[in-house]
Amino acid sequence: MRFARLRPRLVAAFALVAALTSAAVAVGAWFVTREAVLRRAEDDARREARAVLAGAAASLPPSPSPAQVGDALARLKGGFDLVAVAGDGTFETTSISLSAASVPAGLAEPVEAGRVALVRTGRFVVAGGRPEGLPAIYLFLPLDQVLDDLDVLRNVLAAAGAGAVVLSAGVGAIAARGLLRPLREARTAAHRLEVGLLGTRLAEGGGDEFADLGHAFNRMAAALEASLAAHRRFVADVSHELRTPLTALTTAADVLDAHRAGLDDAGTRAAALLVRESRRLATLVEDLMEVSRLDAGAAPMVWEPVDLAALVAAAAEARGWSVVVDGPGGTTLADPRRLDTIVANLVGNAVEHGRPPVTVTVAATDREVTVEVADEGEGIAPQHLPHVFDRFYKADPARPGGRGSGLGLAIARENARLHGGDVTAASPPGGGARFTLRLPRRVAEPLPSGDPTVTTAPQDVVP
Amino acid sequence: MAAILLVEDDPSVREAVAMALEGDGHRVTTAATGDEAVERWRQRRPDLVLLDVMLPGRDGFDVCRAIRAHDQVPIIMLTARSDPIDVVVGLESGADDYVTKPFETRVLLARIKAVLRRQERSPGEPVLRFGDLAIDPAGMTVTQGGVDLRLTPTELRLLLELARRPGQVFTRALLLERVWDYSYLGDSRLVDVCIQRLRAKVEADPSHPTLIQTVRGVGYKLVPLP
Repeated sequence: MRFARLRPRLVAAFALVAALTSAAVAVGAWFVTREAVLRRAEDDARREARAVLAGAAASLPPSPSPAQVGDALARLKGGFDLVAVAGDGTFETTSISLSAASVPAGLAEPVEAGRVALVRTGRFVVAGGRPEGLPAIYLFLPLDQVLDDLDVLRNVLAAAGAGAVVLSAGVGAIAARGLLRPLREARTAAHRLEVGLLGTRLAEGGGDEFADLGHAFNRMAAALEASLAAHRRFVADVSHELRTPLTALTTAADVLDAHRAGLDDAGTRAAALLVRESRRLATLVEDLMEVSRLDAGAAPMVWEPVDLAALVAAAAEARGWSVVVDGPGGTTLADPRRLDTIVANLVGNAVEHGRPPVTVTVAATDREVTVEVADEGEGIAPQHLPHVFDRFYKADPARPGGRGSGLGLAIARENARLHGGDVTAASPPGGGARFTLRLPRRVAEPLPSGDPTVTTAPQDVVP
Repeated sequence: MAAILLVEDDPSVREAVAMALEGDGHRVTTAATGDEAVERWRQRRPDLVLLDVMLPGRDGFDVCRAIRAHDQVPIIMLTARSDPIDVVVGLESGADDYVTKPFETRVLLARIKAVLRRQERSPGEPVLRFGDLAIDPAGMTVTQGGVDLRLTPTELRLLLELARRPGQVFTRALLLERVWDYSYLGDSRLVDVCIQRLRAKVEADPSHPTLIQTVRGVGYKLVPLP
């Protein structure tokens, strides 16, 4: 699966973009908010501090006693605590957790200098000032609530970010599916072309890049189809053109053969050679024509009820071959000529390349009929087995070609496939070659009308 | 043996086939074009015509129809094309059989022999009558209401085969064997097209045959009129 990697990559990219975006937004928002909230706390603290200092200055006498300071602090305390630090280091506080030591180090100096100063520590905003003749008063505004709120905000932002990532990944997955669908179709179409379905085309709808791809693909497929058609037509034309001179040749050879009594020894041998080779050439041309027809799809089927064992016996007898017909036999609807071609090529192959006896086993089940052609020869080497149905395949290139055209097994297989069946080759150890023809078993369907030119067609005609 | 008109435009094929035919004892007249073929047929009235399909000018089908319009002489088509349409057109033009190039000489000679044999009379065999249809095996004629239907020997032989056993169903394979002498894998279209031609001559309505009926998926039978 080529797209098994592309799809997660798309999904990851979507998720990553979402994660980065939401992280940037969240971090930015958090810092901005935090800064704003803290600044407001500082403003509050400064305002409160001024109020407290003014209050203290108004209510306390110069050089007040610690008790007076304590009372004033208690009175002025609001949503904050207060610490008053006298010049001698003694202090009054409104909270037992605060003391003179709690005052941040940098704050004392400007306060002693008479300014209202402010500093932010971890948990407080601390503001301080020293009214004339009074101790320095420090205001501790707690930030707990603000920090808690900021924590909540941070959590909300993090959750929203995580949600955005998941959502984006989902959108990415859907988008990937939509985007990859044309690619998947292109792959399927390419595969169909690969196996020879040259009429395959892609949809060219829409104006996107995939439509462009579809258009380019279709142009390629059309060119391929046209080129192959031209090629096949050439083969068909060549084969056809060969027929006329070949007819003259074979007939003349036959005439010469008929007059061999009047020839000397060399002449007789030459005549025999001429007859045999012109006949072989005729077979080759005939097979090329058959292959051309099969390639062109111009191979109409003529369905008739066929007794397979009888057909095998007749096919062998008609060609003067000696075979043993074995098995329970079987009948089916088939094209008898094509079946004859298949049987002749399989048995012919066994007769030529194997050793006698050639045994043909015919059997049938409800669903299929099988014809197994077995010989007692050397068998087929494993490396050649997958190629025996290739056109012009020669197991041993050094060995001169046999009497066959080199197309017989390819033709046999094509004809079997026209029936919706197949031919397979096997070579069990210690035995000869085994070729097995399997055809789906069909039963006769009555003719729809009295038209005699309509041949009997089975229900499930192979497309 | 027989006087054969060989119509073939390729000089080499013509010469070779003529030699082969003469070697088998036939007398051969040749023609290279369609017009020449019709001319020779008129002059010589041969026993059999071997007719190439692809001829310059007037093609083999046309020549076949021209001869058939006047004569029931057996005609064997020689075709370089095994295109199924060609074969059917050839048979529908009135040919009795066909041979595909390149053919084996013995196959061609066997076909010629088989076609000629269909003309043999069966002396002594009684006339078969079906309504106003009379089949005379001894005279090799078929008449309907006393009018000669001018069947070709192949059509007549096919009708006779069916008529000798009325009601019996003949498979195409059986008819191919008995009429055309094909013991194995004859072309069933020979039978189908010949039945068509036969019906056109003997049936009142060839598209709704009553005498020669199709038995679905099996073959044909002759049904005697009640």
